[in-house]
Amino acid sequence: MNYWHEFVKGIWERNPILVIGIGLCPTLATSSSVSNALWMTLAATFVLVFSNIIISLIKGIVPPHLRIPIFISVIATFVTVVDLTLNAFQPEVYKSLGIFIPLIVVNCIILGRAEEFASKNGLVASTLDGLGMGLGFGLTLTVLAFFREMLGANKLLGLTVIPGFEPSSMMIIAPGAFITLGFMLWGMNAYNSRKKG
Amino acid sequence: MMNSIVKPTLILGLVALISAWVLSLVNSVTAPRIAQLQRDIRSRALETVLPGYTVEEEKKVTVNGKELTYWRAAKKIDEKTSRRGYAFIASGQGYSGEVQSIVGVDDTGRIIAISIVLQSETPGLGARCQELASKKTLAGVFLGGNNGPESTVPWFQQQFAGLDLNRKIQVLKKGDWNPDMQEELQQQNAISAITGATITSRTVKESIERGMEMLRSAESFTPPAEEAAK
Repeated sequence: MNYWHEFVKGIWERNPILVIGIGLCPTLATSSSVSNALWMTLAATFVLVFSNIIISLIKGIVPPHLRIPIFISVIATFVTVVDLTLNAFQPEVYKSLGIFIPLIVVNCIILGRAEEFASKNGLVASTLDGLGMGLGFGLTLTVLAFFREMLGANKLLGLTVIPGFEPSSMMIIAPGAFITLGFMLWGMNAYNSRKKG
Repeated sequence: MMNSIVKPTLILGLVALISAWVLSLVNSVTAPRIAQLQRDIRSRALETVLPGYTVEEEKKVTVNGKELTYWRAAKKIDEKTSRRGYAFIASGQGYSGEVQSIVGVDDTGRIIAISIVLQSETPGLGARCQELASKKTLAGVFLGGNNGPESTVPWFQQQFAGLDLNRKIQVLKKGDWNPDMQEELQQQNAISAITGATITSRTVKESIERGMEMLRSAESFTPPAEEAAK
């Protein structure tokens, strides 16, 4: 098994958002600013890595028909840990991400990786898979948030980019997220097909 | 048969037990801090909306089955006279959830200041009701330009200061607030709605008016005109 490949595949080749097409709900909802995107990445990656670790460790004792409730319990535990910790130590972040922290429980990337990868592979591979997928998720989210915050709020990490410029508020709401994501998919597919051709 | 029921049950129970144990550990660390933060938010909000006042007591009044929490406060002007002030919690349904603010009023029914303490509005739109009017720019941070002093009161909330609750507050669509609008808005007893978040702006305004209505049933206010006539 090639460990390096398990790690990097999540960034481009098997990017959870752009290639597999899962986890779109939090992607669209939390990419309105770069700081939201970064915190969301951190929270989701933490849950992803640790749920992958635990699931790859307990995969031997999990009865096949019980795997979904057990995986969800493991994931929900880590999400609650993140939820409580952010609430206590980063109240500003907690307030701005709101409902999307508890909703990490139903993030398809996490259950998807538990099902598809961690329940079939060893500890090291699962950890790397979680890190890579989290990084792929985070990079996509950050690029998306960069354009949305810049065009939709005329800001970057909360700082005004061009003083006095009237931003397009459409970019901040859902349509702006869909359009930007569409352009990113277009760019990625154009690059891939050109490389093949 | 026995094995196919008992074993999975035990495994699932064990997973639940471990997860509950982990969570109770985390909770024992975070719970006191979360409670402390909540208290801090409230006391800071009270300080913001009643500057210079001393909060005396917390009271509750029930009007038409709805409860209003409010605080009585007083400010010393000189040795003999002191002025009353009140703060109450105004709450209303916004675009995507409850919007709660603490409102300070003086004894003439004029708003001293408001502080929005709870909201879950759309980021970039309604959530801007808590946005500070930052003078920092990206170029300023990199090149070290003049940024000037930062304001500490969100611009949307600042508009409410000085409005007269004996009259209706108007919600105008004049775009984002800037200091130049202040005089005109004050004359019209109006606020300028957040662009793209008229519902949020209205909710705050209406919840304040509703809260004031309830407060009137418990405390008496002297409108500024009558005070001047005396």
